[in-house]
Amino acid sequence: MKIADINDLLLVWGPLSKEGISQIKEEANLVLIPENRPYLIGLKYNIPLLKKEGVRFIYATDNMLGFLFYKNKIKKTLLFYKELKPQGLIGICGSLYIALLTKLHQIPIKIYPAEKFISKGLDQDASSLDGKNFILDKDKNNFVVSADDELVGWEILR
Amino acid sequence: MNKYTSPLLFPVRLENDIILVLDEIRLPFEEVFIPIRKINEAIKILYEMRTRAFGQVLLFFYSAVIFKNKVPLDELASKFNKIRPTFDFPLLAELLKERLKKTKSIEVAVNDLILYFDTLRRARMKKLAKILPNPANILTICNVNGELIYLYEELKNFKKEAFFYILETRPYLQGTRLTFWELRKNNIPAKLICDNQIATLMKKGLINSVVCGADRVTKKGDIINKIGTYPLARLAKYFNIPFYALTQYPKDIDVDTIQIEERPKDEVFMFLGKNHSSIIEAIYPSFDITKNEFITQCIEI
Repeated sequence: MKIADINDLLLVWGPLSKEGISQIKEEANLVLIPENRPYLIGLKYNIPLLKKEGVRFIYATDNMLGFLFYKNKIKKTLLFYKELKPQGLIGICGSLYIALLTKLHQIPIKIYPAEKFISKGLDQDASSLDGKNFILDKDKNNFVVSADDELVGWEILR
Repeated sequence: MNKYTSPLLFPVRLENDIILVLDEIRLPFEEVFIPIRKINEAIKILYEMRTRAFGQVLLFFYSAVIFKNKVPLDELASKFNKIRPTFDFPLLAELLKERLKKTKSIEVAVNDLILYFDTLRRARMKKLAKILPNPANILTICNVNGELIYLYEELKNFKKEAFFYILETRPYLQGTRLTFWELRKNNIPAKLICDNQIATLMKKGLINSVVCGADRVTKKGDIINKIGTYPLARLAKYFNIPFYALTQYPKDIDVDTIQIEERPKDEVFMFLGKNHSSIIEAIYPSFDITKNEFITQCIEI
């Protein structure tokens, strides 16, 4: 599929919940599923779920989202959070990136509680991809930034 | 001999009428050179992304040498452009033609140009090193063929400390496999991050400058570079972090008229354990566009 052929995408960030899937089905748009590095939640968790539900989707790496915003291809962002705090929401790695890009492009964002998922056995940081290590062992512990959960302040989500 | 070096500074060589191309796909696990004897072989490795950036410049120039009696320069540029439509191969043909007016053979012209480019690359890094703060905590994307090694040396010459944060740069992982590898090979301080971690690093104040290459630049200062550059620039602007683009030969054109190369969808999955392209629809724009309003300064070659 070419970029020119896609429009009005629903961007999903984080592990989809039942509530989220109902919302997606209601909107009946093409769903954009990014990888969600490092865990590859998009590939390993969200896509099998959407396939089961018969929802149309398209896959992209996380760094392609900026271009899709630039080209006005994204209609709405659905951000799935782990926890709500007085300062904002806690989401998986990359949640702040998505929330800010959405805000900067003046695209509506809706938040939903995420489904609980277990990251054990999945990639934990940028050193590996789908279980394969891409850096030298000596660099593994001290030279990779850990993929911590992120706080997205309410001021960004307003 | 320089203290710091990288095979990516000159990833393509010419030896005895054979072009040797460092196979970037096999890095960091193996350093293997692919021999090129025929034009179709050169086109094929370009298509397969075995080389890119400065490597494709060298491949073009050395192809101009060894196929000089078979393929005219403009035709060569057109063949290369068909494979990589975003990059300006016709410009390389023009530069070579200009150089040929001053020298007797294409071999001499090509060697002169390559040496000239390398001198300019180092000078560009000196210029940037002078601008960057001390310490310089630099966020970078993809790979600029060893230029960050030059930058590190120049920063040291200015007695400045440096630390690099490198975006893994999916789907080809050039950040991980090339930049992180070449910096760590030289024991240069660096950390690897996922492409989506840029906002959180910037928010934490870990970054004070962003440096990226550029495949194309316009006279207005708009750039086209590796996919993921645009969000980097947008977020840098949001967090008031200076964003520097390494540019060369700006053209008086509208950046939005330049064709953005879209690669086959199976390449999105190529470094994953399994190729999912038969069951998953995917897109792969390999570049994005960053307008000058998000760029602090273009560091011209």
